[in-house]
Amino acid sequence: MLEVKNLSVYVQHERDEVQVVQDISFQVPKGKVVGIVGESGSGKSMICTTIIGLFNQSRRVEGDIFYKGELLLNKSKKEMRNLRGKEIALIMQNPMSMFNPMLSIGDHFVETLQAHSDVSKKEARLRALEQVARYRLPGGQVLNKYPHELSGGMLQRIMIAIAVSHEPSLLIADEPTTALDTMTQLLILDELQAYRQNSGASMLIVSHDLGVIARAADELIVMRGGKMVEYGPAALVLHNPLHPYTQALLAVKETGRSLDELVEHYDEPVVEPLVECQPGYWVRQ
Amino acid sequence: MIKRNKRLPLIISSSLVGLLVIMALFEPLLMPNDPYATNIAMKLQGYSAAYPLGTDHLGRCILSRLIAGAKVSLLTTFSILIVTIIISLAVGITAGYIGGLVDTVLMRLCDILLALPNFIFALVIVGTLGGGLFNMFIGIVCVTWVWYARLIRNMVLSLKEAQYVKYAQVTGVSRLNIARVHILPFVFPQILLLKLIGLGSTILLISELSFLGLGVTAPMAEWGMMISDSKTYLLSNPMLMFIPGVMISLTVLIFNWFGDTVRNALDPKTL
Amino acid sequence: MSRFLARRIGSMVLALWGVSLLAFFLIRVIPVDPVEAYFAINQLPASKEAMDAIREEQGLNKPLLSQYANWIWHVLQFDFGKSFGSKSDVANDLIKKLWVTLRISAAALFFVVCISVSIGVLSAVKHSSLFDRLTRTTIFMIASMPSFWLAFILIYVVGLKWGILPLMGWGTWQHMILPSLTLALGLCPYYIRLIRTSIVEQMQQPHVLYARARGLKESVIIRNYLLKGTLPPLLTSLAMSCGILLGGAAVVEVVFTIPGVGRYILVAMEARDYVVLQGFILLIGFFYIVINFAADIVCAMIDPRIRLKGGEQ
Repeated sequence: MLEVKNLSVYVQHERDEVQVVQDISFQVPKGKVVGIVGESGSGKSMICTTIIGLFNQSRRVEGDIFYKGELLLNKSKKEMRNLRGKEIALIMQNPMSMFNPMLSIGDHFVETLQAHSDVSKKEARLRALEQVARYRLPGGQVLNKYPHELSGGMLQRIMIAIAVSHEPSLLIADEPTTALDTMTQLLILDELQAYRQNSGASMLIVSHDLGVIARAADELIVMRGGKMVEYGPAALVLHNPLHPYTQALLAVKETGRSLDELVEHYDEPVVEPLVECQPGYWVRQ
Repeated sequence: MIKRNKRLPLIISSSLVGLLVIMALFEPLLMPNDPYATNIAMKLQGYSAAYPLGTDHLGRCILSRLIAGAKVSLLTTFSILIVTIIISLAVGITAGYIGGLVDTVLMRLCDILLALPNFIFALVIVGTLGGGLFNMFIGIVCVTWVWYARLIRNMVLSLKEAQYVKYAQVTGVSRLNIARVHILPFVFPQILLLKLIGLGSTILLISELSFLGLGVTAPMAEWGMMISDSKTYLLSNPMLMFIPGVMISLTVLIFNWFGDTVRNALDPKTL
Repeated sequence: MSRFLARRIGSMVLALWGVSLLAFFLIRVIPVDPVEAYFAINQLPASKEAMDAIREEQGLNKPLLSQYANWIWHVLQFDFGKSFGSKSDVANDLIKKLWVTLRISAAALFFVVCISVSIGVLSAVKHSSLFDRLTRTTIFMIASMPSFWLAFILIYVVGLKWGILPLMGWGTWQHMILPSLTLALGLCPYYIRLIRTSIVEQMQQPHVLYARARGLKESVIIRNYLLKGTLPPLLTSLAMSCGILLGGAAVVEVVFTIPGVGRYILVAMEARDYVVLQGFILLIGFFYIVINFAADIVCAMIDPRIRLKGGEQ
């Protein structure tokens, strides 16, 4: 479904160019969920926005991204726009600031539906109602509400409902559960899982929370400082991590401390080459 | 933007302001002629060695009058600056710090004064007082302090909530001392900066009122009035109107630029 | 919304009452006695009897409060009294003159919106480009020019050198172009800057990124995100500018010799005609407050956050 090959991303920082993603390669097979885990600033979000082509001249990209066998980086602006939201949907973090404060939730549904299909406002509104019902959001009320009247968890669930309204075949979720309470986190993960099972879509979930990834992912990528540290089947990586950084990550999870603490304690640079230790399992050794 | 990039514009703009101030302070030394000496025989002359920028309809030296006008404009502007800062600080800090009824009364007064467009308010005050430099000064001060007083009051209100101010209150520091030590030093630079940015518009306001005949009285040299005087000679002597206008624009430009560079140097976010 | 409306109407009524106080007492607080000034200016023999007779006639010897009540009572019936000097009906005169000024101001607002929205949007979309830098330098220079001087330059170039528009006076629509353009030029720098900054700011908002992520068309993003977000500050400023326009009109009316309210009031001030002055303050204040009120209501209709806050600042 999605294949990323030797992706490197550079951003302009004042006068210098900084490499934030270094030579990443991975695949998201059809119907599978791939998780990317790592501390904040490890370049995870950068990968998401690069895949769907949401960046300006201040970002330079090397490598190839294939979607259904087609090169995404070569596509025109218009082609990319047609893909975004329809074929590839993005669920973003900080739902509180992601909605236009001057438009109602219903307006957000309608404009998204109208962006990719030729429907009237009325039809779009009906489809939005169906979608809202399917995700057990509080019906017609929610559509007339404005973003600031709703909680972050509710907005995140609405974001999912909007994202899947065009039945995309690839769903990219960038920190979908951050800053939400545990109950809502579980609800959201269930909703994502349900969509995958019903539609057979692929998913790329990015998080700094191993718990989230452990629940959802089939395959797991561990990132540190823009580099891939370990990449393999989720079950293996989680239960028998090979790289010391992954081990440290898991240890942090056990003790329930925050990942930011880890950044301070774990300061070994990642220099080893990436080796395929068994088929489909890569680690730096 | 890097700090170094901001220093150069700041140096240039402040030296230009300095130049204007020097011109206003040492005006008698710079003037080639007496700006008030009329000489009908020499009226509406072009450029000459004696009159570098020519003469006006009464035969007065234009260059000398421009320089004399600088003094009037800048002196008035700076005195307005100082007086409005004092009034608005006094009212703003009193309202914000004492609060309660005093605050309500002062702020309602501000509301009422702000209900009228600024320029019209100034116009009415100056008009009823009867023109003249001093009355114009009163009129402009009357309208400008209000807005700043409100701003200061809001600043003081948020400062009052700061921990160190609360601590000072608990430990029994007197109100006056808290205002002097904790509030004034914080509020003053911000207001000064805002006023510096607004200097250009004060100069414009002075020239506009003078143009309407409500500012400086007759023989005194003022740029706005010089333009007003030259109205009738637009056809024959457009330069008469052009030169003082350039002078006003340049002065305002320099002050606006100065305000901008000061703000940019202090606050990197605005760029 | 209804709570917001109620609060806003309440504060408007309060402001209107405040303006009436201002209009009435300003003339009386100022240490110039209108009757004395009137005699002095019109060079009438200032005998005590003659002055007292005028005071009697105008009701100026009654207690202030009863004067105020009497004045308000008449104002509510739209009777602003008779001019001190010419004895003509003030309400009638003011409305007639204000109509002229309003037409110039409206044309100026039209120019302001057209010029600054197009240049501001272009400047923001292509920000840091040559066009953007050129615009910023130009508006910085225009912002430094006094309006009356700009007016003379326009008269000189467009009227005298090119001869395509009438220089001065009032009558046809051609007479309106230069004055309103002068007023507009004075405001454009501010508005171009406002629109440019607002749109550049909007473009960096995360919700615009999310809109792009959903594949919205660029035209929808400009309309529903960038322009819509700019509308509330723009409307509020435009309402404030109505005040600046009415005031600035005085200068422009003098330059172009237009029989508007600004020139009328300058004449009245010359004559210390306090009846006209207080009527003028009241009318302009009323107008200004109502316009600001309308702008606030429209903003609240566009932006739900304003409604929720209930009109607090």
